[in-house]
Amino acid sequence: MQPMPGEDLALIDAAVRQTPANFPFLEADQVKLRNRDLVLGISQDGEHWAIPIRFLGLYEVLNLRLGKDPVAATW
Amino acid sequence: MYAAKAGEQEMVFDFATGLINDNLLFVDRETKSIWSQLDGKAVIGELAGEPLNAVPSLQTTWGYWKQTHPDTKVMTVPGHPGADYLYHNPDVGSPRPQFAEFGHNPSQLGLGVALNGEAVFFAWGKIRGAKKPIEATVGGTALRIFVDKAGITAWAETESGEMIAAIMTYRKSWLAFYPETQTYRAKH
Repeated sequence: MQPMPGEDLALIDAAVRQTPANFPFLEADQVKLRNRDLVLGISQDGEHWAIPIRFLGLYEVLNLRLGKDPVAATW
Repeated sequence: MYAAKAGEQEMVFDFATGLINDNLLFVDRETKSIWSQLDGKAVIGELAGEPLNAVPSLQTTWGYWKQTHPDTKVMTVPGHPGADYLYHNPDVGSPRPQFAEFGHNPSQLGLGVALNGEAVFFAWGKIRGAKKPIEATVGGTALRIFVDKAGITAWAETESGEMIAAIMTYRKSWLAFYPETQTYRAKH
């Protein structure tokens, strides 16, 4: 693995940050996002969800159940 | 975005500090296998070599997404504002952005499409001015590449209108995993 971008591969102990679960979802008019804020959008079976990148960046990977199946959102 | 399943086993993932090819890693709680973020494959552990199924998703601006899907639900983290990550979009607003509006440079962004053993990178600079969907063939599959300049987004659909998994990413990141990638040319 690499400890940092651009570094050589090295044998390192990669610490693991456990990802919290059960993040709430709100209606569009209940959130305060700027139009320029980035989101990861997903549509399934006529439903739509947005995951703001400002939160994805906190955790790097999120475990979500948006429809009937679990998904891992990463960025 | 990946289906969180290896075979029929549902997986839960955590962030693993450390990188491979300058790309992020995550680890599943079930087998402790380590997965690379960009191509969704396990690189170390019991499931090494196994791929996750990519799920079509769209990286775009909130303005574009809510306009397109006003009934969308939005994830939030109660009590936490999150961390800003913005693109500087020279196509929207005044030519010289205010200092407070400056964001990351999207000039090296593009849509990476990998299908049936072939990878193509549609550089944002080459496609952002498209007035109509771009027709392209990747891995023997005819695709249409849709672009929204204001939304700083692009996505790929099959001829039947099905969106396929593709990723908006920086060129360098894409090349690290797909060194044989072709770069879209207008006649592709």
